[in-house]
Amino acid sequence: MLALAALMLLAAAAVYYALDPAGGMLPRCPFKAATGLDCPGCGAQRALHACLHGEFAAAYACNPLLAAELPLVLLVLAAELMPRRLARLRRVTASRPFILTFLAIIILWTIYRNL
Amino acid sequence: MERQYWIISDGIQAGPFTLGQLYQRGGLGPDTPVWYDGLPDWTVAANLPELAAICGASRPAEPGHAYTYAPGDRYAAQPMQTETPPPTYLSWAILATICCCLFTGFVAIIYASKVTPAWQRGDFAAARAASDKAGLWVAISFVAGLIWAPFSVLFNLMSL
Repeated sequence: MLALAALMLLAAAAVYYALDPAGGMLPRCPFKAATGLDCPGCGAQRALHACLHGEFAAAYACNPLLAAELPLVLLVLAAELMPRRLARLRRVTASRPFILTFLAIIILWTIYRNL
Repeated sequence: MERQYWIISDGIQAGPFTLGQLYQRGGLGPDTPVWYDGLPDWTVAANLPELAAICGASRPAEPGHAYTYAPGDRYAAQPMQTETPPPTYLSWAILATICCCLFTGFVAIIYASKVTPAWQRGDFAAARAASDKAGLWVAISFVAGLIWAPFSVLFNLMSL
């Protein structure tokens, strides 16, 4: 199971290294296609591509929220996978205020980037 | 390890307590619902000999005259006591919101936020239900993304 996930991650990394999302060979955002507005994840593919090529400044510019919250998401994931060892962390990340704040930030970011 | 008891006090599930803690805590009546790991269902304090002394039962429940407690919906037939609440799937929900489908991701996040509050007020069934729903909406998001992706690429290629 874990091996399969690792393999998929590697495959994704390979694809995003090789292909430039701006070139049009990779999927586009359905939200943007439908409404013309940026969804909170828009630019994530380009950011990933830039990251894999070491261009971190460009990656940040494509989607700043991602850069800021990816470490947080990894923390949440760690807390979910090891709830006993990281019990105190999990109490925070599973709490309603934390989760709803996260959601609020995502929503506010979406509004902001479309202004 | 000492046996751990759970009780229902003022309509809220409390515990676990050891026998000593139950005694110190007080407030245990003959009709107080009690459960420990090993019992198939909730019973009442009067039915457990070790609690008879501290629950004020004037005499042990006679066979055929046992106090009965009908488990309601809240106090499910198998109060599964685990030390950690069910997963919130929050990290996946956030990823799904950002990468795949905004709105189904939102739904997943909202359900994720319901897991811990339900767990904390002892409503384990609701916590597990919220967890399952969060997982479901994460799955829906990913599937939607997987269906959309090849169409999008195809569309891109066609308009080149």
